[in-house]
Amino acid sequence: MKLDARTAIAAIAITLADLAGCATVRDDAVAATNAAADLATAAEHTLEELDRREQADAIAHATTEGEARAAVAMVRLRYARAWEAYRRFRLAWLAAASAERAYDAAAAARRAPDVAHLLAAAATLADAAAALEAATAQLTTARLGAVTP
Amino acid sequence: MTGAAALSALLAFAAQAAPEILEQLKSLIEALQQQHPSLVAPPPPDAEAQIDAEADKAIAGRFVGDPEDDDA
Repeated sequence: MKLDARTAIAAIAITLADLAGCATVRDDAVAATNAAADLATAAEHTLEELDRREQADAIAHATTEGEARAAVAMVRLRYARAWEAYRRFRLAWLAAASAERAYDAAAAARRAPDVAHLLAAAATLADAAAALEAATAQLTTARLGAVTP
Repeated sequence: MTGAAALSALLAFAAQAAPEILEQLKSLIEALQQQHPSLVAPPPPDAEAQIDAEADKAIAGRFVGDPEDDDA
């Protein structure tokens, strides 16, 4: 390939602009994904603690095995949505991390990284985070306002 | 021209016009790429099944042989 200096300079300018733009998107996505991992870990601990405590309370207040099983089933039902939200969120985190690794691999191989895929994964992660926060907040509020059975 | 094509053009130009800086350019690009933040560990798997199993065990332990609950 033969290039004159003018074309080379243009190529350098375009390359730097493109790298800078993509790098910002990539770094923002990694930062958001890391923040999401913290949120998910905290949510998991909260859910685990609340679920375990409510099931223990249900068993402690029951007078028969049937009553205990019915009470625990009610607790499981109430927590099912939040656990499902957590699982979706974790999958979204893994997908976003995979998109980021694909981005890095493409950049390392001097191929054009799939920025659209990265942005889509980040958007899915944001949606999953909102659903998880809503589900966890609902349970926390219910727990705080709950009357001991 | 995309960024990747421009990068190829830049490296090709450097190889042709200034081979002595080609390696420096490659090192610079690699150093820039390594400046990016890295991912932290993934969130832990959920403990729902474990909690449910513990509750089943607790119920079985508390009400085992309970004559009042034979019909339950």
